[in-house]
Amino acid sequence: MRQAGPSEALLSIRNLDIEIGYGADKHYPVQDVDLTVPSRQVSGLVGESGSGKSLTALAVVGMLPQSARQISGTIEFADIDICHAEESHLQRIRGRQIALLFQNPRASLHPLKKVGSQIAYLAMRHQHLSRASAWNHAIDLMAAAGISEPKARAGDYPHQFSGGMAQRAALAMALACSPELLIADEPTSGLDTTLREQIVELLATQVRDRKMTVLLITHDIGLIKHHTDTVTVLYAGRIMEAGATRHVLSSPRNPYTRELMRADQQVDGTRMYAIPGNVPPVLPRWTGCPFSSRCDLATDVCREVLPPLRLIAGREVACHHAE
Amino acid sequence: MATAPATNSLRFLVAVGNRLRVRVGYGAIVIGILILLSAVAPLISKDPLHIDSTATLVPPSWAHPFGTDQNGMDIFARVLYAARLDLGEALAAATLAVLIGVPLGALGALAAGWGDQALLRITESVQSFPTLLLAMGVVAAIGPGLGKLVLVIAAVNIPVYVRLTRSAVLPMRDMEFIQAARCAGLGNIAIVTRHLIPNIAHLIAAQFSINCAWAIQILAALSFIGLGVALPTPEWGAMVRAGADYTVYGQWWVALFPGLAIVITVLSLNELADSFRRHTSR
Repeated sequence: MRQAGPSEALLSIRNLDIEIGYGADKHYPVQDVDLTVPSRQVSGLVGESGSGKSLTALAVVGMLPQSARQISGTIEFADIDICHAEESHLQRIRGRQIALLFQNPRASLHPLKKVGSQIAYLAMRHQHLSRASAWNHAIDLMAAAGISEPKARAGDYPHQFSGGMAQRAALAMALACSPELLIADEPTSGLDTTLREQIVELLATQVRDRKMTVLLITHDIGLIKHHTDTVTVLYAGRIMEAGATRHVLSSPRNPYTRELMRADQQVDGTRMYAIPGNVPPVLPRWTGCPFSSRCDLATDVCREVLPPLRLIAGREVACHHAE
Repeated sequence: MATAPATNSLRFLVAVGNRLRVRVGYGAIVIGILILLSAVAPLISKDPLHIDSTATLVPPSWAHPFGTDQNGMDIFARVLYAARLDLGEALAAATLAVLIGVPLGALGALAAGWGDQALLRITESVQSFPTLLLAMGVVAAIGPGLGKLVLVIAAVNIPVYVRLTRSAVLPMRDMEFIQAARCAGLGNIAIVTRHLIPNIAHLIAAQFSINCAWAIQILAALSFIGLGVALPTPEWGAMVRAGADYTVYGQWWVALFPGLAIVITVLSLNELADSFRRHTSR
């Protein structure tokens, strides 16, 4: 059993606002997001595509794309103010203290270098290991990441890896410098269901063994349910509900969280449930509840007044009708 | 019965030829032969600087396969020795241009700020001059000398590499493995040398080959108009210049053979570039 008690925050994001575009084309993919990632726990960030999950992750490592700007908010990682850190300082943090695991594992590996030497290179660069010991370290990591015959596979190129194996290799690479925080951005999209469970299970074991902290970003609420301690539900750039996973998912108070969970429950013989409508492609600065256009409970107040986050039943909820 | 081994060995030769054609093409073979011949020039030819006043303007013969020039120097020897200078100079200039242009272009594409814009404007202003005219102007200003020629020819070719590298890197910049590398704590320099350059090496190789051809043309042209290498140093362009006056009197061999050497070398280098492209764009 994991302890979900009070614990020191390794990463804390306050009032994060990100804007994209210029002039009349401005939109706001991340609005007033608060996120606390407690040390040595697995925190989940869940939402549909376009809800601002990945941008939040990139902001944490100071790698927002050039079109995006952080307009306000603070990001604090282990007493480091990420927003005001020098690029050279960020470079030392990336890989060594914060590692990112990407959506598409094969695309995130260097196509022309052997998988083993890519992992070994990071160990050489960040931990100053010798070539030989870095190579051995890489093989150990690949074994830990569940790659069978790691000695032989280390000499293979990324195109010789299957999707699942490539994600294991990418995980080995992320573990190469035993970072304190691992941000896994949709680590399982593009993998089949059995592999999905295996990879996340592997992630969870490695996290426990290495005393790491994980921020798991996903649209799959099933993964959140089984593998995280805390969860933040994001919709169209705003937080809908946040709290301990067991509280939030056992009795969701925000209609959007309920809809997400309903979409996850597959009933035999029936069509999979989909939330009606889509995430708006371009996000204005919300003046009403962002979900009001798709919500059954929506009333006039929802469309006109932005619901604040309120503490209800041990978690934070942004909904006028929650109680 | 006796024909069986003959057809077999013929088949073998054809197979070898097919493989070679696929792998390298004639460009690489011709360039290889040229480099080999210029390397063994002392063994197979006479002294290129030996003046024989009793045998000036002798037409091609067994003693002088390409004839002799107005000073009685053996043209065959001079063409071979000139290959050392022309190929060596082209290689040096193109290498220098690659070493400066490629990292600049890659860093420019990565940095994508005012530095990148400044770099673009500088390359544009260099490229707005016809290459040969620019080289002529600079050489006329700073004076002759082989080292200076290499520098000038390299300098006028740097913009080509800057722009080629920049345009190849731009679409790659936001690819996931570059992002992943950045996330792993790699800086711009490491990303350029480890991730970007290996992935655009085939483009650089093709451009390098074309560039060597340009360099030879520029050097020959400069020498032809008297700005490059001067006689008696064996150099193809200077030799064509010296022989041009005699062609109208019927002594065609003085200009023809160095001219042919230029044509064959340039064509082969272009074919080599083409074979790089064919090889990688399958």
